[in-house]
Formats: sequence, C-alpha cells, structure tokens
Amino acid sequence: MTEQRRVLRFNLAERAAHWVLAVSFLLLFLTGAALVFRSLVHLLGPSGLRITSRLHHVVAYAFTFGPVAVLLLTTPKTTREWLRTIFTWTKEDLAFLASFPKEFFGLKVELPSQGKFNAGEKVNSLLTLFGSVLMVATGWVMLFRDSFPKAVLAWAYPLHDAGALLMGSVILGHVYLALLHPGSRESINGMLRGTVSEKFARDHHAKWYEEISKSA
Amino acid sequence: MAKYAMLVDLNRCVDCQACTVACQAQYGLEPDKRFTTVRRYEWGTYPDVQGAFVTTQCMHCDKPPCAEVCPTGASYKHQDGAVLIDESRCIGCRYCLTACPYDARVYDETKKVARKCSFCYAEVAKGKAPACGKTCMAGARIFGDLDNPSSDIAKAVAGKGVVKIAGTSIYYAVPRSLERSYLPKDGEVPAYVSAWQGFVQPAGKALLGGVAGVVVLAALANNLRSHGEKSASGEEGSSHD
Repeated sequence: MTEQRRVLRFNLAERAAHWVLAVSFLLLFLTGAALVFRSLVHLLGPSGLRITSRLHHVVAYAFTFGPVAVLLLTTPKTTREWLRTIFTWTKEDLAFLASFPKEFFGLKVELPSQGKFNAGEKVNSLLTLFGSVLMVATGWVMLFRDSFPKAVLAWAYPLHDAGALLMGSVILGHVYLALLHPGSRESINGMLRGTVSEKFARDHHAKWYEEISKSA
Repeated sequence: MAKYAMLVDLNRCVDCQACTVACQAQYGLEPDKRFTTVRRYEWGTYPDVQGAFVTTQCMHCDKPPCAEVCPTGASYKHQDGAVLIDESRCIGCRYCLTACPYDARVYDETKKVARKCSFCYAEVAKGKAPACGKTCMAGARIFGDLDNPSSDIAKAVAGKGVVKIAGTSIYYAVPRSLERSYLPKDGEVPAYVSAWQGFVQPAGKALLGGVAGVVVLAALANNLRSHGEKSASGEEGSSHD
C-alpha cells in the first residue's frame, strides 16, 4: 500500500457523542435484556435483577442527555449538516440500498457513488435517531409512572420493548459492517482516530471526497 | 386441587368496611393501601334515590394479565384458582400494577414489592377462612371450593340473582335495582398486554435472532470469498483492503 494519506471524517466531539451513545446503549440493552429473556431472568435471580434495574435507570441519564449535549454544545454545525443529510434522499440512495445486500454478503456489485453518509448509514442514522427518541420518551414515562395516565404508561411498555429489540437488531448489522466486513471495516477508524484512508474515502464516498478535495 | 371462589351478597353488605380493615390488619397495610374495599354508589333524583355498596378486590382472573406481564414469574395463577405473588421473587417493577384491569394491587414502598389479595391462601391452606369473610358480621362474603358440591359457595352461586364476573373467581348476589355497570367489568386481557406479550416479544426476539443469523452468514460468505481470492492469486497473507 503506497497510499497512507488520511482524511478527517469525524471530529472529536462527534466521536465523543457516538461513543457515549454506544456505551450507554450497550449497557441499557444488556440490563434491559435481563427482564426480556427468561434465561437471563433465571441466571440473575431477583437480587441480580434489582441491580440491573437500578443500573438501567442510572445509565438512562447518560443515554438521554449525553450525546445531545455533546452534539449541540460543541459541534452544532456538523450536527445540523448530518441531520440535513440523513433527511435528504436521492435516486442514487435508493439504488445503493437495492444493491447493498450483495455487497453485504461479499458478492461483486457496482454501487452508486455516495456522499459523506451512504444510504445505509442514513438508514442507520434515522433508525438510531427515531429509536432513541422512542426509547427516551417511553423510558421516562416508566420512570415517572405516577405523572402519566395509565393508558400512556401501559403502551409505553410494548413500545419500549419493540424499540429495544429493533435497535438491538440494527446495531448487530452496524457493528458487523464497522468491525468485520472487509469492504467497510476501514470506517471504524473514522470513529476511533477520526480519519479514514484517502483510498477508502474515494472508493466509498466519492461525492464527499470530491467536495473535500475541492475545498482543501 | 380445588377451585376457590368468593361470592359477595350485596343485599347484605352495609358498607361497614370491617372487611377492608380486617384485611389491612392481617397484612400490616398502611391506611391508604387496600387489598379490598367497599364502594358506595347512589343514583336517581330526590326523592326517588337508590344506592348500593359494591366490594372490590383481586378478582383472581382465569387468565391474569398481571401474571402474564410479570418478568420473573413472581405473580402466578395457583392451580387452586388463587392469583398469588411470591414476594421473594418480586423485583418491584410494577408491570403488574399497570396490567391489572381492576387496580387491585398495591405497591409496598418499604419492601419494594407488589402485594395483593391472596384469598388469604396461607390461612385457607390451614383450613381457616379469609380475614374479610371471617369478620363480616352480615355474612355477606361466602368463600370456598366450587368443586365441592356440598360447600356453601357451591350452593350460593346457584342462587337467584347471582352474577358471575366472567373470566374471574368472583360472584355477586345483586339487589334487583343494581345495574350491572356498577359491578366490576368482566375479566379480559388488556389490548396492550396482548400486543406486548403476544406480538412484540416473539416478533422482536425473532427479528434479533434473524439479523444475528444473517450477520453470521455474511461473515462466513465474506470469509470464504477472501480465502478463494487468496488461493486463486497465490498471495497468502496479503491484504485486500
């Protein structure tokens, strides 16, 4: 490999927000799963479950306020840019999604050129955004159960459960693509060191690479 | 095995609340926490006014929603018909308090557990009567085993003007003037409980498992492909990134 040049993908604040969200989500998922899967219920027992429940309620604060505070207070400009991007959908995005399953399984496929966030990353962003809002809203209803009508509290339970299992599924795919998938695993460096190789940027995010090359 | 049930003869109830207090004393409940109580209803316009008293408590449902949502199995339907809580297994999540269609459960702030009427199951097992029935001076509460044809309860439920609250273990002998709407509604599993336990849980777990399977397949497929490319080009150990 001759190309060692790297380009900035995520600034420090964006990475911090990502990891606060990631770590708190993982803790919430595991402590929450303790009440959903019978085998975990038996493994932990009542005293273990009381601890996981308490932990769940503590980590909820980090999940609710951490990423939002970091993004809005320290990097509002790139946050706005990210939000604008994930709500903007083009024909190429749809074509990308249609071809992506082949890429996922390692089959040869020509993918349409993408911006900073490819269509799959947009889907991931949207699911994370709306999923988190759902989890936070239903979760706080449960924490302050006496302040809400009984019907609202009642429906918060299945919605919280559905959101958790859906987000857990999304994250399995997300982690696989970031760490293991040969085509995309360079992207983890963007979230760890902040940079990705120039080659990766050009191959996977051609439109974005063009933009940053022009402005540089 | 038995099939425990209770009939309350509302013709006899005088709203003295002795049952409420006897139950609270038996189980050490705070004044505002009740496993059973008597509600007072009045209707009509003066001078044509009527009234009645209706007792409420855990209805010991045939399919208790509280037990269905309990994540630990602390709440359960005993084979003898009573819905019970094993307090040592309760983690105080209060899912059951929300699920109960009759608001019959209380939360013990000190012990951090859910509690409820157990038909005084521990007493009944010793051959005694429930505290509420034992104290009722009007003899309005009749408790016993429906499977025993010579029991008071078996005879009482066959009487005139008896209403069974469908899907529960509670019967009322009702004054002729009392409309059905003043009695507790028939037992049914709330829609959100069915949606949650019958759909969200199994579908969500299937989705999670399915995605995990797809990811493993993709990892294997990619692994096979990179091996194939390596042996084809003869470049063991070189990177394709």
